[in-house]
Amino acid sequence: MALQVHFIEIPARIWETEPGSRPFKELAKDAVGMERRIEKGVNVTEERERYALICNWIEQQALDLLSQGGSQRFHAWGTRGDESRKAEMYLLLTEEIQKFSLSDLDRIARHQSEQAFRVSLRSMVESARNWLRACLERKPARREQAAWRFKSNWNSLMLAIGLPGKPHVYPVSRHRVGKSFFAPGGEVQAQWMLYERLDESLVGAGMLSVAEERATFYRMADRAGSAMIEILTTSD
Amino acid sequence: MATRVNEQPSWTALAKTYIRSGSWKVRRFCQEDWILCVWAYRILARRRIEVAIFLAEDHEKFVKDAGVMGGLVFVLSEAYNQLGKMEVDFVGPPEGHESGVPNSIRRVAKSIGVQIAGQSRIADAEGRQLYARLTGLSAGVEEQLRLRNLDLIRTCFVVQRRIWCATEVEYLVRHAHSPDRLLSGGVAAENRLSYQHDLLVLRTALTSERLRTLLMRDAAHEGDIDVQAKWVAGATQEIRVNRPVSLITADGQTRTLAENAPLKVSVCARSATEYQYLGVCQPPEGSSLIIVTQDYFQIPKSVRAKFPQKAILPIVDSVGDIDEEITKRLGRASSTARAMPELQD
Repeated sequence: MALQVHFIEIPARIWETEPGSRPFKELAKDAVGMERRIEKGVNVTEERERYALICNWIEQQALDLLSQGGSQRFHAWGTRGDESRKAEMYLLLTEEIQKFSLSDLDRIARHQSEQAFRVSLRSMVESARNWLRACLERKPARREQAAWRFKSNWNSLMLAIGLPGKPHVYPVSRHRVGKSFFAPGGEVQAQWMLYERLDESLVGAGMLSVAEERATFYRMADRAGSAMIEILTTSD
Repeated sequence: MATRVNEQPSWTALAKTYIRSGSWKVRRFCQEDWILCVWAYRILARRRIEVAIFLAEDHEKFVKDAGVMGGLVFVLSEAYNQLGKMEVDFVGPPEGHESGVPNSIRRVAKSIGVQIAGQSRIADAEGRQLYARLTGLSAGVEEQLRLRNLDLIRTCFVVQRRIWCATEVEYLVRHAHSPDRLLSGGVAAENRLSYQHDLLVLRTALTSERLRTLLMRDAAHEGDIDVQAKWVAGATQEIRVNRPVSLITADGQTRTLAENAPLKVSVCARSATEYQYLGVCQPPEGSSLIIVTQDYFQIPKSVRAKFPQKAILPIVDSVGDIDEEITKRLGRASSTARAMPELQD
């Protein structure tokens, strides 16, 4: 069975407004609620059925959007004959990560928090510079925008630093792996950070290139402030 | 010639003596209103199953030795359920009437490639092999199950319970990442990617079953039909029928499937959006038909025109129907897993 994986970037504006009946953002929120209830063991059978339906719907809507040209960026594995193996490896990699022990996850989480600190600091300095420039150029609209960015980056930095004396550790949930939709911002960021951090001590060498490529897709999506939806299908 | 259910055959008195004795249980295997096999057995302290009598008859309506095979499946299932192993003892006088393994059982075992070594006992390993072959699992599937460290008997139970048929099990074992998850019904939707992969495998397997149902339905007015299906590569099957069958392709044309002529079909079960955006699957060379779901007709005609209409055969179900059936079957499979017996030392 030859597999294909499609990575569809959904711009933040579309994520919040499309499809008209119920936007992706709301659908994802519902689905996350279901994940939480499943994890807590509340009405598991029904919640799993509902979760499968809502994920199907999100994925179908993403495909619709793609066919209408709503997504600017799109990556796929397995559409060419030689890439089917990559899709297969990706699935195996996902299953492998789900088996990670708590110490593995902790190691990755610590690295992520360091990386998050560096990213937040860099963004904050940049937004401060933009704010200063806007002040000097006397452009109120740009100044306000830069101030808002500065505040948002400041908050991220505070989150990355955590409480004094207590290094903040980004929580890495096993459920964040193997999902098919990731909201813009934190969820997409957590994905590239996790996959970029993987090394040969954790996964096989063959899987590492797949992890790197996936991390690149997610890094691009994060830079553009987009959400990401993954679809698995067959080609034969 | 077999006996009708409401008749009083010569062995009735014999069976009654076992029923009266209290410790023996008498069971019969019937098809339609014909009794094909009768046997009496008892369980001794959940350590040993003894069969005192095992009688089977043939009927022209059913395949030869259908009674022996049916009775044997029940006896072996009961042995596994009660003892956790498939060891069966046949007892002769003064308590029973079977001083050795009946010749009918030996004959059937030999015909499916299993040799029974013991004089009056079917050993556990022989019983397991016999059970797998009676279930319809090929030696190749048995090997795959062994390589992937899967429980052969649980797999057979899933087939015997008609949750999945032997052909579907073969596909699951070959293509699923974790066949035990599918066979025990433990597919968790929140692990979406693994769930999607499992769903793709199950959709293909179930769509192939729906195709066989379609062939049987189309031939129903002409009498019974035997459909042989074999996976050749990926989602491609080779199908043979023992009488000609007419099929209607997506362009409305009738296509006749000749008697005993192999036909290669590729299964492509997708939703309407997937058909529209991803198209129909590319079948491997030599494949004559592409099997699609009803969702195919929901895409615009202009898009459909791009595909080879006369090579596309729709089944009657949509992907939604197939997914619903999959959910039901997984539910039944999980109840099979819960009912598994304890293994005895």
